[in-house]
Amino acid sequence: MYPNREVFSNAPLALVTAEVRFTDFPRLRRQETLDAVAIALEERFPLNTPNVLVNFGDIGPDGVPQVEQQRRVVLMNTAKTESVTIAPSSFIYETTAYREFDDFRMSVAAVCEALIGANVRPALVRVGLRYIDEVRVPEPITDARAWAKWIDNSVIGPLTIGPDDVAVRSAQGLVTFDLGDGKGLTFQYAALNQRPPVVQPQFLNRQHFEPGPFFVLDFDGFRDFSGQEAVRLDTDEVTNILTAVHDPVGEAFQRAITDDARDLFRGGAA
Amino acid sequence: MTAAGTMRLFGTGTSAGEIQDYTAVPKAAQTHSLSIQADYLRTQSDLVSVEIESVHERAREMDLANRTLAKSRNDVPNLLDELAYQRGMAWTDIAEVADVSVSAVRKWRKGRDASPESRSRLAKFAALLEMLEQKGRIQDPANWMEMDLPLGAGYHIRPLDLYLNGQDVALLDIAEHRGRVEHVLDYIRPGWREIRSKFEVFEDTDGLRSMRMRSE
Amino acid sequence: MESVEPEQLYDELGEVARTRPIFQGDVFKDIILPGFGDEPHLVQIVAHPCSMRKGTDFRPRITVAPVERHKRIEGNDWDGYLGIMPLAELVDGNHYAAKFVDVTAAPSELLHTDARIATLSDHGIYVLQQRLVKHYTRFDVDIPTLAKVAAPVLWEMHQQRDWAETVLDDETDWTTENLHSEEVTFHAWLDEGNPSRRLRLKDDHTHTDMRKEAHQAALARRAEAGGPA
Repeated sequence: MYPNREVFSNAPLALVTAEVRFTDFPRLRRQETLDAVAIALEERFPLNTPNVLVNFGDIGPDGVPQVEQQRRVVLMNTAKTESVTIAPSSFIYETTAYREFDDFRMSVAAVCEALIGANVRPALVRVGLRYIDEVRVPEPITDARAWAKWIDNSVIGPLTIGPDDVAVRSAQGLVTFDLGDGKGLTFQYAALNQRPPVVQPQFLNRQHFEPGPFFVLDFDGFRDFSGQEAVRLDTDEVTNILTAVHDPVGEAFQRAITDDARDLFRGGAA
Repeated sequence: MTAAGTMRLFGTGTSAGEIQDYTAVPKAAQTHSLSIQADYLRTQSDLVSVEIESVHERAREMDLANRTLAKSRNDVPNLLDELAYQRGMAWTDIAEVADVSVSAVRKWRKGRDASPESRSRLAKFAALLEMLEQKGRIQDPANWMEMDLPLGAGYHIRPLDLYLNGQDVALLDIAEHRGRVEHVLDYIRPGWREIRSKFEVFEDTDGLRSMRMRSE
Repeated sequence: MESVEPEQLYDELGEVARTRPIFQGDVFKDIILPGFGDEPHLVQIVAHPCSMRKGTDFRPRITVAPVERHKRIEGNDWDGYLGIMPLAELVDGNHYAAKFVDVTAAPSELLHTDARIATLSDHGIYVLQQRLVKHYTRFDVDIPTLAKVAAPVLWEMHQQRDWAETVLDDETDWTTENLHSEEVTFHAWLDEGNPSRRLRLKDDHTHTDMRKEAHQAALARRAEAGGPA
């Protein structure tokens, strides 16, 4: 538990994703393995879209987004708010309807169990847990400085560096924390205006949001495996890591927002 | 800070065909998801120019909104008078702007009521003409709207066509010569180059207009 | 080939104002066409507007196409049926079409505004022209080019109407005599100046200015005719 921990009824959370990366595992290229995994998960994720082209966006050398397409198995729940993507060297569980960390962790555990049950036990490379908030507020934001009401000064301090009477066009930043034992926390933030949202699911339904300016809080907690001994895919190993990085992530989020924002997320008028 | 300057700061070089590691956080060091379309923080130059554009655009949108509000205080007959007799617009074009038939516009002139939507469409257009005159420094904005843009033979795109397709402040870009017309069109109407007439219009021997195939 | 829905095809349908000059695309009823028997026909003027008149008077005959009941043309069918001009919902919601193969010259005195039941919008006129060209020559012409070619003559037609309605602001004054008189006055006004206004009209850039001038001139004429200024 971390200080100020709270489950908000009106959270700005747009997406939570867990990615478990491992060494390339050829068995995951076999249809029978993928079928076995899909069958094991069919209660939770009955929608199966094998061989879809999924886009992994990245920025090319000239600053233009490039999209890499790969064929993957994508499983979804019926509400299309959760998906599991299986690839030969990773799986991703992501949701646009995150409520409780325990539920999330159990879903990831279920995927691990399904893989292990199908004899997929590769060596872990990285386990990551990422929360992306798109903070949108009822008051108009015409200058990035207006975010000071909702986002803590510790995040947007740099906005006060320039002259006081000029407009702030944009603000963004990135900080990486070393949590020890191969664990880390990457925090990214950005004040964005008229542009499409950061979270634009290819397959999932996203909760309704009002278009307009928004502030991104992006927390990525992870554990890299680069030690001498290989650690093979294990449900407890994965869920323990998620739990271990969940606290620093949650704490950082609470520190990044103001009380006004908390009121807003609780569902009250700010 | 110029876009090029910020790119250097973040290690994004201008493209020379090589792939540079532009990210302070390499892709491998981020948790992936299908639902994040593009690495939003890394489009530094994109972000800067988008932000510049969007602040400027927002200011103009607000200006247009304010002027539209002012114009909406006029009744429809007055707005029609302004557009037709003070600006010299054709009734056909006024009807298109209001998204009604020419007959409907005639009925308004005879005293029939127009819907609030029609009235605000007329008000908005009147406001835009005013902005083009004052901000875009176009002497005769109604005329400018109905003339083909200078795009070369065979291209028939009028600012009015763009307006009817939903562009408003973008027309100010064209009027203020922000970037060449072709580039603005590439942005707001990609594919415009595909539609080119093979004809040209000329004055024939009897003094009237005719058409013939373009010679190039 | 361009398609057009009834809402965009017609300028006026059913009740057509007498102030609108007779023009290409106009549909008339109860016309006894020479060589087509004794029953009256619906006809549509297909003549090019520049060839209908000599000065302000009609030529003795004007080319028209008979108009008959026809199924509604929709979607891809507009690329076919090249011998007709579709006129959907022309009368009482029923669908008609002008038949180009039967184009004939009708005595112009039969084409009176009282017998007119429909006029086409600018866009409708371009569509008609596109189909005529295709029918007669199998040649494809694009609408924007047709619009550019027709711009001056359409300007005159619309402006003449505007002139008449400005000068004769009481509809009871829209008698044939008065309308003809204003047509003559308007054309005289166009011929004034050096270069004449008619000549200036050749440059599309002058059209907005000329509309304003024409309206001012019509208001002045109304004042001198004793009406409100």
